[in-house]
Amino acid sequence: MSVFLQGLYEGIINGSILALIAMGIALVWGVMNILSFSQGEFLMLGMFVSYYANRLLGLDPIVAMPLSALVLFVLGIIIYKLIIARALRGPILSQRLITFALSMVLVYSAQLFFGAEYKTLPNPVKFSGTIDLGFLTIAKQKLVPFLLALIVAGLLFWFLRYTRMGKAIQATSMDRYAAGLVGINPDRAYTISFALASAVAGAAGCALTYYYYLYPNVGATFQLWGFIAVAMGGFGSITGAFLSGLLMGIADTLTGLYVNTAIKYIGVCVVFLVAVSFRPKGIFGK
Amino acid sequence: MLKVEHVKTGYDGVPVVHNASLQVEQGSIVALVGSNGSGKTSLLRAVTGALPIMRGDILYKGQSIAGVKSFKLVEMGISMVPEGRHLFGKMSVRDNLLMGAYSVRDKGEIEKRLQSIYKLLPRVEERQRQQADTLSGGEQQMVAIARGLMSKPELLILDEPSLGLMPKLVTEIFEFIQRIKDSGVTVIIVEQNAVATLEMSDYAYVMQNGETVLEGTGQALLADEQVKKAYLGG
Amino acid sequence: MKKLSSKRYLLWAGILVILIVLPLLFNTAFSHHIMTMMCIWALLGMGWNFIGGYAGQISNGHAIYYAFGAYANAMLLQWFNLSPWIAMWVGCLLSAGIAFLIGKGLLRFRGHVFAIATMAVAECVRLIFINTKAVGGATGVYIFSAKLNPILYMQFSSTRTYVYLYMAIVVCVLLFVRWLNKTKFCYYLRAINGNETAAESAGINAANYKLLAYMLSAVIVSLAGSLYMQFMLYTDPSMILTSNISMMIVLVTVMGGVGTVYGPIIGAIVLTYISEYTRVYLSHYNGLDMVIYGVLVILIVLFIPDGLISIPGRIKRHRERRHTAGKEAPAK
Repeated sequence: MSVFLQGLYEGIINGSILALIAMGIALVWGVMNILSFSQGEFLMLGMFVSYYANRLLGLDPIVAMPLSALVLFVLGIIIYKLIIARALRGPILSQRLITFALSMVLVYSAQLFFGAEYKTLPNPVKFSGTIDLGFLTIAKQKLVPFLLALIVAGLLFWFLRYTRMGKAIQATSMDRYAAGLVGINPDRAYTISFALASAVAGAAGCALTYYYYLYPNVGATFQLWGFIAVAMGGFGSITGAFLSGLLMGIADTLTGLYVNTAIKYIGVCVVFLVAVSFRPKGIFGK
Repeated sequence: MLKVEHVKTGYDGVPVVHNASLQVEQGSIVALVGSNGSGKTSLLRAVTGALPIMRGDILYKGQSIAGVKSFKLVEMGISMVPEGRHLFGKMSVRDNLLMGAYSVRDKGEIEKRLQSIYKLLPRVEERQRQQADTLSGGEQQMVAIARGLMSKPELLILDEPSLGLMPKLVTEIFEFIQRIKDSGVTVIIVEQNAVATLEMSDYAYVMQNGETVLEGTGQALLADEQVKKAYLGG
Repeated sequence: MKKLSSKRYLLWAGILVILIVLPLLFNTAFSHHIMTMMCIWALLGMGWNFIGGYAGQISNGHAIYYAFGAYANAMLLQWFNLSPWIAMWVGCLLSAGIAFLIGKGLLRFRGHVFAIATMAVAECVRLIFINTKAVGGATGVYIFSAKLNPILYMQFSSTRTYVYLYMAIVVCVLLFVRWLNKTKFCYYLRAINGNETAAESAGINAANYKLLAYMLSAVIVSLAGSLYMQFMLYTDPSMILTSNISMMIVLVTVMGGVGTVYGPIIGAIVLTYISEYTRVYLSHYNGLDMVIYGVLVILIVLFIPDGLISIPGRIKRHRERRHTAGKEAPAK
């Protein structure tokens, strides 16, 4: 029983990072109807910010997180203005290819500048050790990023629901034409959405460096699982993406206890396909 | 207040409006009538910057607004209620109205305007917490117009406000529009429902095949033989 | 049948001459390698074009069929000593069968969901291949080149032979595509792509046609896989079953001109050229080649969204516009 509980707990922790990526994908999908292939790469870049902040300044990831989010936010704005905005005027197919090519550029640039070897944080991190609850062992090194991930998710929810710009983004995703008519600048809404998604991924990356290896292609798995989580959770629904992400993390870890990787993955795919067959707009979709 | 001069516009380089001209005096209600496909909505979209102006110009208070994007027009005092309402369906009625005042920063001012709208339309206040796309057609139209009013426009443009509504509701909507005009807002109304519109308008234009072919006061057009035959059922 | 004008004949004859001369002119193994890869990518593009271009369903998982084609050649040789000339078609059949199953399951989805579903399935297949020892697992498969009859077993000592053979195959498939392009099949596909409900109400069974298009695309892509295997003599899941490969198949077609007959070929030529040259000259800068590749792709797709094949048309329209600009009288 306790193995199960431990698996459940670990699953939620793994899922929390996935949930953040999924929320970013869902946000961009909902607002601009674009499949962003670069979210995984933003995660990776966030991890690098954390790594270098740790190596050069001895900072803990928890301190580096706002920095990571900020850097990725700015990067998101630049990428949107330079590339995405123009891509949106073209056909949908091209849009997807552009974000894919962009992810390639990011991955290999990272390889070029930072090297392809696996990295971990060089300087010891403040939170280490475990809390033993008898039926559950909690590694502080995984608890902290989990809590941070929850905070980031919460901040995103709060922003979208209670701030002026957040509501504008929601309105734009519901009806771009009407949004323009009430005075919302759709382009600005798009820019902020993209940059937010990027920042969230960056923060997630920072959290991930507590317990995950860093290498240029680390985002690829998260990317694909993120897509599946969003498609399953309902595109356009940030809440759905978040919950899906958690669920997938749980499913992944739990089945991983009993079954090997390939079958586990196939299992998730089957669940995904079945879910989308019955609810084509996703479980929580609009 | 608004002058449309020989405008040509269309989609992807294909013109649907070839030569449209109209003039709107401040404080009046001007109607634009015509059958389906005559280009009325396209002309409105050109006015609000959604379609490119291929030829001609649009002047608002003497300034050219050709190509100015719609969200900037709101700040200039122009508000459009589009055909088909386009409410933010998943938001509450109240949030839709608040969105209408997006260009306003002062929270107190927004609340004041909200309250005055509620006074005008008590039924909307009743439903303020309800999700917008659960309302009936007529109620949605009221909310859409109310949303357009939240930015306190000087010029309100209504595209097919009576579309798909029962006659009783149409009368209500038109009464509401009259009250809006009485409060000092200039109104442009595009409609297929010619009779009711012409009765209410100070001035009107008729569009056919992408051109403004006829103009005159509402009463004059109502009596006009051509108009009668084409749009009023003889 | 429209008679080809003499100008057209000349054009085709010219192209034929170029095709024959090119491998002789650039007689190095490296050049031949590039030309062979161009042929293979041309096939990949033409195949994918049927489901992605004509039918409009963007599949991001076609690497599966590429792999099936390649592995079919290798495994059938290993197990049954089967000549690749036959194994090729077995691979195609296998791919068609799998495409039928997958298509039946996935084609009900549209747009982004379909794309994600195909990616998920492709990843599943990749993991299955990695974990199945019988097909070599993660280490892959290879074709042993013992003293086998070269013609029977499609293993030539001269790379030039490969080039000519593959070019010939590409030309055959191209003629097939050209012919198919004019048939009702493609006509219906375009109708479905344009407006599926309208097409259905006109009596076209959209689901069947899309499935057929999907299967056809799988067959051609599988063929490309078999040819790839014969040339490279080795492959493994990380080379042939990655999502990168799937996306590049899409890329080749879109960059060239999706939904057109010649677009994929042009896309294949340009893309292979870029990727091979950057790989050779820049790969000692750890990854710079892919960065340049990615940047070029972004630029091309951003600024030429209709594909490279649309360039001549654009130039013509641009010239025409300049011509008539003087004639149009100013308004008012």
